[in-house]
Amino acid sequence: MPRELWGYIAKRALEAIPLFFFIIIVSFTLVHLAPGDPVVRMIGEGVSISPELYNKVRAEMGLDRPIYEQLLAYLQKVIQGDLGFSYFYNQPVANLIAERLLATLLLMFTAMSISSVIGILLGVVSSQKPYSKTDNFFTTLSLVGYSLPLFWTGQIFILVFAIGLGLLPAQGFVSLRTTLFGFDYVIDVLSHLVLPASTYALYSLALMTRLTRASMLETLRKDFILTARSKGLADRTVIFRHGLRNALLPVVTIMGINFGFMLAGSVLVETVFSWPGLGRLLYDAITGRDYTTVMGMLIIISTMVIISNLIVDIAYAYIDPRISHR
Amino acid sequence: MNKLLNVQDLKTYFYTSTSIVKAVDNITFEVESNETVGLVGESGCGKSTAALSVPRLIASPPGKILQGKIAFKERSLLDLPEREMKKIRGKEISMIFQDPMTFLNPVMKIGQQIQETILAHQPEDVKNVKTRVIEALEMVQIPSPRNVAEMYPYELSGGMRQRALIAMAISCKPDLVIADEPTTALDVTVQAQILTLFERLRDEFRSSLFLITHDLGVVSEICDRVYIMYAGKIVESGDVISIYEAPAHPYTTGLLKSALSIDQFKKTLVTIEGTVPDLINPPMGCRFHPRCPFVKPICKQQEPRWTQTEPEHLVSCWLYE
Amino acid sequence: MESYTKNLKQFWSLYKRNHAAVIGLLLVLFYVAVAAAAPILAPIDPFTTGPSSFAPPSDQFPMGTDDLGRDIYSGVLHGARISLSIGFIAATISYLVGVIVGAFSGYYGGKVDDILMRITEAFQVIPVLVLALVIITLFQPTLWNIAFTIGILAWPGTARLVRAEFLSLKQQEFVEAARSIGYSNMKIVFQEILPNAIPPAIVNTSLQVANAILLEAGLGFLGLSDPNVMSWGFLLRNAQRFLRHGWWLSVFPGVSISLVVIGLNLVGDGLNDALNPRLKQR
Repeated sequence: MPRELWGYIAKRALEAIPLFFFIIIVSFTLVHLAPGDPVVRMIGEGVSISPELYNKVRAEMGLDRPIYEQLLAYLQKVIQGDLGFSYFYNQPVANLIAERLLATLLLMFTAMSISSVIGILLGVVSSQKPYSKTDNFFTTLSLVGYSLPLFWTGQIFILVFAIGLGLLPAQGFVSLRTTLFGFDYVIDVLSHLVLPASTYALYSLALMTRLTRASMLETLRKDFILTARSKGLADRTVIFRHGLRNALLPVVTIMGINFGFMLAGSVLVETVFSWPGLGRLLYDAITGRDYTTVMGMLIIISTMVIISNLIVDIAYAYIDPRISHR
Repeated sequence: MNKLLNVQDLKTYFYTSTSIVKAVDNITFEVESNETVGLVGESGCGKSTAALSVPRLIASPPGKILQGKIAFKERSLLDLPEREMKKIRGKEISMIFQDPMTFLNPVMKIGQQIQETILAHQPEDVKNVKTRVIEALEMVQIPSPRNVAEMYPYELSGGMRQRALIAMAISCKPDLVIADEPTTALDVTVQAQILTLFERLRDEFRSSLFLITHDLGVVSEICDRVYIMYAGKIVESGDVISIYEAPAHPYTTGLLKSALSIDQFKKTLVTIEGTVPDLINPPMGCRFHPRCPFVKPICKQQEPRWTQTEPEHLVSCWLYE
Repeated sequence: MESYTKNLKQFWSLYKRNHAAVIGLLLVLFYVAVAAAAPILAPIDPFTTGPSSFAPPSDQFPMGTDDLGRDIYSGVLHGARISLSIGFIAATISYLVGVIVGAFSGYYGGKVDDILMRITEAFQVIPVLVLALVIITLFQPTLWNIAFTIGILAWPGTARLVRAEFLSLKQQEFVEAARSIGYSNMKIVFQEILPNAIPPAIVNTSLQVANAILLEAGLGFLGLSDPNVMSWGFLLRNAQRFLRHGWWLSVFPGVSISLVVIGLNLVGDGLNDALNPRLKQR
């Protein structure tokens, strides 16, 4: 990788740091702005609070000290990875998150990678004969696909494939009734993965197709495409090496934004499918009024979005060398 | 002499949802081996369309070559299947375009863009291809060609980019190079360098150059013959000297006068009265008649036929019938 | 005023060329009408419980009943009022905030622009659903809270668009002219530039409404809707609990949300095509 790229990565990483602090400040502000007793809130309303616990937590929060000291203390804690202690689950929040992270990432990456590849290809294909009957049909279809509420498509999938046809399991990560090992275990996880991943994939696929098609249509109008054709290059080369490579730029950006959106959607989809990931954790924490975990989730999810934006920026700079030179 | 390119009765129209644009409306021209021919006209007269029609690069909706014969090296290009056309493009007929910034792929290195042309036509030459890329860059006199080959278009100046485009066009030693306004986007000093380059290449490769431009100065510098185009039709043709010394068509006279008036810093710029005609509904009869100072009644009704005013000098105008 | 109606007529003839966009508009209007007429079309309070629970769709209950025998048809119609209202109100709020932020950012440039854009960027990092979730959880779910929260969180998109328009428009001559007459900055922003900056933002608005409706439904699904009013999100939350007992619990509310959002997206596409027409070839 060229030297300028590393410099660019470092620059973007540094710019991301203030964002991270901003989020912690937002989190802190919300906890203290909300009506009610912040101490009770940090312990969580779903837990019975003894006077000793109350005093202990109050002392920990340092509510007697001036606000900016509290903020600094909170900042320090978070940077060191301490996102608080959940009295609801009786574990540090950081642990809870670590346990669920993999499940969410597995689900999201499966969904996004498959839908991105297929979506981009479909987008390229439909950009070849724009405004034809087939193209209009697929365009409308993808508009429908990305208009449907994520959690509702999940329910429909369950209704049709799990309850109706009995083909796939409706809930969970693995079957609860048996314990499986090795290859059987993998198959079991995969079969549980299909419906929730498809739910994300439906939306993502529709978005990618729409986007790639629009971007390709615009790129193929450009002058350098005429040059490529005038050189006698094969159609496939013109479309992919000259067209798609330039058309991908905005697509990559949107993929990044999409990741954030899907991550947020995980609170809905994982609830529908009882998938043991971060989204489900957030949902349970909300229902159980475990605000400490809720705030920790806010910070983690936002951090994940910042990281994914950084990755997108780097990918963008890699595809388009003009970016890292500026 | 053998005719390298012979285009007859070419009609290329564009069909939009509301109208039909008759960009090229029945023109005939030819280019022989080892000669430089110019096609001159104002913007919007259809000259670019004429140029793009030859290698069949007209975007097919909305454009269409309705009729005509395009004979290249005795082969009829309009009858060839697309995959045969691809073999000709870039290798026997190549194109140079106007604005090298937008006509080069911004995310590919220069060297790679030249390389893909060579490999597309001579895939066996893989071992030599890098050398050939450097050779092409040297041919267009780009300094430090090895470095430039590793650069991206945005890293080069306008003149260098145009040279790179030219390098791409000549990399497979084509017989015919079609250049569509190659110097328009460049400033005057660079323009002069590029024209000198064209002359050198013509002498070294013995290829022909079909130069499309609105700039009479450029034509007078390097063209052997020239066609004057107006509103989708060719109105005058001949060798450069007789056209410039004895222009026959009133449009040609007008063009020369207005160009000269700029060159000679005349106090009043001479212009041609009127505006560029609409290619959707062009004027009846001779298309220039609404702007012609010598218009006669017959000009408004019938298109004039070809008359020869001097050897190698043809004009389409009722003044000479 | 005359030129205004003429512009409108011109705009409509462009817009209606796109058949899908017209269908979208009809869908949206249909649901708005249904929502408005809900008390007449479904006079019984949707929270009224009844003896027949999990009844499949029938003449008496066209969309079936839920676990407490509540009429889903009534729920969908009354839910439409809430979901659509919140959608439009939230979109309006985010539009207003976005326009103001974008206008000031684009017009004044410099430090003001820098700071405002940094804040916008920071806000865009936190997914709206998550932030809305957190806020509603902390501040109690009431109708106004929900509408306000969704509205407040969605302004970055509009702000960026308006800012881009302002950046390009303020270079133009009519601004110079206004300044030379002595118009104050405020006047220039609101009277001169703003009317020209609005069209691109309008396309975005249709999408904002769609997003707001989806957000509200999502919040309701998670149990964060106002418990005193019937909303589509509430219906779908119930559906999730009792999915095995009746497909009608999920399908009818879901189809309604989907149709409204599809309609709004089609309208958005149509607005885009009408405002930026491109040559379509035969």
